[in-house]
Amino acid sequence: MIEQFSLIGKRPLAKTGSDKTRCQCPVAVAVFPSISQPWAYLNYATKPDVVVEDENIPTSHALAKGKDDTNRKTVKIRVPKNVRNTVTDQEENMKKNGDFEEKTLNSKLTEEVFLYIRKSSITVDFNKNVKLTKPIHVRSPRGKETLVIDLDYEEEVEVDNTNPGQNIESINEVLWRDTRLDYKKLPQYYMKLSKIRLTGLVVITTMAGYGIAPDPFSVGTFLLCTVGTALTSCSANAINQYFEVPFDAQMNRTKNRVLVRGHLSPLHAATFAVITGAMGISVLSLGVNSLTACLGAFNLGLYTLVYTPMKRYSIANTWVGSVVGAIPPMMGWTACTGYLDPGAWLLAAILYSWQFPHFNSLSWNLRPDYSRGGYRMASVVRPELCKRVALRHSIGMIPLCTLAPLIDLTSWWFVGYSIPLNVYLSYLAWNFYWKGDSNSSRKLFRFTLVHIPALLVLMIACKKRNNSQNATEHLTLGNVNEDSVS
Amino acid sequence: MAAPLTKCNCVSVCATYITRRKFSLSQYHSKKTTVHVESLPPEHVETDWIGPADKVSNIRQMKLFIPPDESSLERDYRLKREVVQKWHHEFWTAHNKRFFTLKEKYIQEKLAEKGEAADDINKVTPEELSVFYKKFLDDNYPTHIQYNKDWYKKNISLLWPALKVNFYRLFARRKESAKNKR
Repeated sequence: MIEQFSLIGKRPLAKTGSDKTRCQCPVAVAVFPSISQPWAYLNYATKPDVVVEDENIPTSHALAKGKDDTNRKTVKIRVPKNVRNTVTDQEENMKKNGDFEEKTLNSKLTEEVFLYIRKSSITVDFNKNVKLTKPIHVRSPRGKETLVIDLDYEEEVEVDNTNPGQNIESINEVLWRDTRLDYKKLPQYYMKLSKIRLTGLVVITTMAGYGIAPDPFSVGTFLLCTVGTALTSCSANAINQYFEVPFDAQMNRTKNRVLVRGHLSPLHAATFAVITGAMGISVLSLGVNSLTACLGAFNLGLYTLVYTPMKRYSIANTWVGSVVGAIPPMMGWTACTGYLDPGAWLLAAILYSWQFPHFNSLSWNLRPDYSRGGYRMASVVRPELCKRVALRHSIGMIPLCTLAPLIDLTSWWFVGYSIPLNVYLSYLAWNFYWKGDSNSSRKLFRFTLVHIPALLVLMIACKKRNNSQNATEHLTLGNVNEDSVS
Repeated sequence: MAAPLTKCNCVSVCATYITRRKFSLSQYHSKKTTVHVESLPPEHVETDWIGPADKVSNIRQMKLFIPPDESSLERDYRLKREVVQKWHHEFWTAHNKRFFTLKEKYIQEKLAEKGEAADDINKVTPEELSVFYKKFLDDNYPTHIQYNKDWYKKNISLLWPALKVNFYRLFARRKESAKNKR
């Protein structure tokens, strides 16, 4: 049985010294007397006008504009029965203060009573207050059927679902957990720590770099290059997660990371990073060549020591991050040829340009998270620049791909096949530039995930084959090769 | 309503259902279900336990195990961790409170500017909100920088004690307990 009341009208209350807060809004009180713990609900038609003394920050409630409720329907009210019954005779205070009649709910409540105020995240535990023997003043002004309640409470901040603490998606996020290391799950944890999907993509670009390079394909070097790059990437990602624990905890996207959740200790993650990094660089320097190893080490340093802290300092971190993304194919190329030929630079330039439509569109929908987490990203700080850069680099893919046959990397077929991809990318980037909404950004992001694998595959497919013949053949068939070049 | 008690973990789930109101006022014709889930750590722990993310600060609380024969090394490390965790929690509570309060204030201002639109749902567009996000980031830039610097220092400074404690637990402690047994 629900007894419902509605309260209309408000009146500024006489200020009493002990009261920290005051609610003076139309409210409705609903009581559930049948449940063992009676709940009294106060429903607000508008947000309560609350004054909190402690901080200088004005509360949202204090600044909320109250709406005029003269059109509101008036309903008869009475003080809830169970609440009324628990006020003892001794301490019932009937003060006649102008229009007001005061009743005081005192500390001698015989039942546990909670007061929950809707639309304001305020729950007053009478029982707590009972222990503190602080009375809750309930006033009902004569003539008008209003109930005004003076509360002494701490206003809770209304947080929305961008706050992971509020956005509970599974019971695992709420339970207390033993942090003892679960050895069975260790491989899984390591994969998560090294962001295995991202590492996989990095390795694929490296393999593509190796594949596109003109020199002969050596399986051994190829595998060692792949393994070395994978290990270096694991190390970089582990260090990144090690440094970003409190920030990852703030975003829904990253709240389930291993270190945030406490599956691994920070020392464990740091040790993993050091070991994999050392192994990766060693494999590259011993198994491939020193240039590749240097590039790998440089990339590792760039990512962990420059990009990661820079995310908090300046929007230029995106440009640094793009360089980080452009280096792996260069590593693949140098693993094959041992030199940084123009082809390597072109490949790096293509990957560099691709990062902008990819990341800028992704970051567009994460603006609230970035703002609250303290990440300085172009999408928040300079949104127009963000969109412009994405567009610029999407269009720039076309001349870059046209350069490929000009430096003898691929045949002209590559340009023909890649033009539709690049034009569509530019079209989506154009849409994103003009509309700048979540829809267009998501479309652009999704297409970039398709665009780059397709482009890399096309590159390898249209690679200039004459260059890839092995050394001996090249020497003996030198004249023939020159003739066959069209 | 309380979920059944598990072995070492106590979860009380109080679901509050706010059902349809019988008023004829439009505001009250909405059905909302809020679930409040609380979880408590066990009374006695034998290892370190980690709790849920705090509602405002998103930082997880830890309940660290205090072994009966805790050495000063372990004690220092444990206290350092607790201090760092608390520092995180306090920073983010204040920071997030500031964010949500200012965001709400901004939304109310924008809605007031827009005037009394006839819609029930007054919305602030993402573009308008992005102005707030930028302002918040810019205003809090020094705070973020300082926090970042302090965090990096604290994080790295925890590594060496952690290493020492781990070595101690692996090797020295066994020797100690063997000595004590004799």
